[in-house]
Amino acid sequence: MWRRTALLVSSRSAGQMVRLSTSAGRPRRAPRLVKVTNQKLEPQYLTPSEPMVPVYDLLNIRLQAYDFAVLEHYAKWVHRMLRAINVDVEDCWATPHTSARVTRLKPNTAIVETSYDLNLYERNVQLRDLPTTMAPVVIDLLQHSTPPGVQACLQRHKSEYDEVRYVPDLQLKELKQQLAEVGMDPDKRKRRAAQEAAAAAAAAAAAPEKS
Amino acid sequence: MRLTWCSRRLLLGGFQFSCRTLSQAARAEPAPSAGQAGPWHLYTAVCLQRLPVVAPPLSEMERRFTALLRQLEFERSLKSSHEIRHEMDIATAEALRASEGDDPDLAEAASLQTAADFEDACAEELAGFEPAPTVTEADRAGDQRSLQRRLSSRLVLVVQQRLGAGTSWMLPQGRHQDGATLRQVGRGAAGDTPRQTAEQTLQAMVGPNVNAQFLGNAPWGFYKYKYPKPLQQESGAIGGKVFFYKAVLRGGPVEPVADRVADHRWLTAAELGGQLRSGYRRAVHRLLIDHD
Repeated sequence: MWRRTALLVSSRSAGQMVRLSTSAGRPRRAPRLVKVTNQKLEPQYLTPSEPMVPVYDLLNIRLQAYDFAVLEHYAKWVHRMLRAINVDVEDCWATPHTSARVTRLKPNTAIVETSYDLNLYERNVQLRDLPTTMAPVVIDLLQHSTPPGVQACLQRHKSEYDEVRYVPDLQLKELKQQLAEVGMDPDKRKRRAAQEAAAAAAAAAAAPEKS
Repeated sequence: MRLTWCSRRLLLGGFQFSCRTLSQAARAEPAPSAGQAGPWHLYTAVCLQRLPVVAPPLSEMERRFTALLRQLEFERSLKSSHEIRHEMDIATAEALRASEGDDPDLAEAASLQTAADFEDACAEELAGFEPAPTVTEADRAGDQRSLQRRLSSRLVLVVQQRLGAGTSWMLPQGRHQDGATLRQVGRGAAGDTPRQTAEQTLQAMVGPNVNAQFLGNAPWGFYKYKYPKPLQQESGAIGGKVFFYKAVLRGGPVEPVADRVADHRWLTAAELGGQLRSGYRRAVHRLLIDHD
């Protein structure tokens, strides 16, 4: 079902004379055709509108700790607490831990006295469309509730945080490195583009030779 | 927009839908109250907090429940690798004794550090480690000006601020200069938002080197008070409206400025009651989540 919409333009500013626009002076534009489907049947409140308060797009609460049990319980608690105050929790994931070895040597020697293997575990809770008015409340609740040993951080989401979660394919990396050593571009697309360019150049060289 | 008794009845009787929208419009525009006969001075106050350094001690019930959970976990758990290693060490020692030292492999296995030795070494190292005390000197002395006091609670800065001739115990407070009209959404004459006024107030009261992280641009609390009569006539305002901002102390020295502040204290939420006036105290308590 199609309907013609007429263009209505009126401009008025305080103190000026009202100028009603007419199409007498300028060329007439073609009327805009607007596809109207179910416009009378769709209720008004389904039209998406801007939120009244500015929102943060994607925020991450990053929780880091050396104590795994405490960290997991706290991450669960944070998730439930945020759902209870109607914050939109988009995602919740565990980033692979980072290991560190701390070695203590006996003084003035290279003899190892003790060594510790420490794993820093991490949990992330992602929030979507957090209103800016709720952000200080969320920060305050996190500051009040963080258990000893856990570090909480609220930051905007970046794509690097997603890429860190993937396990690197070491075999593939090694093969690509071998290709680079030989002199070929490890990127398959660039190699194919180079081959095609070389073929086109060869064809162009052959064509003028013939002619 | 006021709905008189008659018109409201008419509307309720006839047009339900329009009545709802009209009453919503009436609520949107606040009816002029008696208190708006004259101007009010606006103030911003800062609730500067030092976060707790250590966790609070467990209560009696929490201690007993923790002990019960630990015992249950131990009873349901499987042997750890340390315990298995300990058992293997015992078996190796037995085998060595039975073979009377003939087998070189067993002798070599037995000469390595056993699990029991490792455990003893760990215990010795733990005994050598001395953690910092949770009850500090400031706690024992009861020094309320110290930041090292009550490490398991939040401390709020309360100052004895000079007001005119006298002083009063309150959160650090500063005047927010009004804009040309009250309609301007909160901006002061210098173009400052209330949050900027709060930051400037804090720096004016406790020195410019304080490192405080403010939570949000919107105030967390509100308190209204009337000036005494002579001050009302002198200043031309009925009283003051105070908007509280929360901040967390991140570092930096807190040096109260002598000509604005006579004295300062760092108090827990429970101790605030003794220091502040009752109406003001109730407004401040609404900002704080009280664990004690």
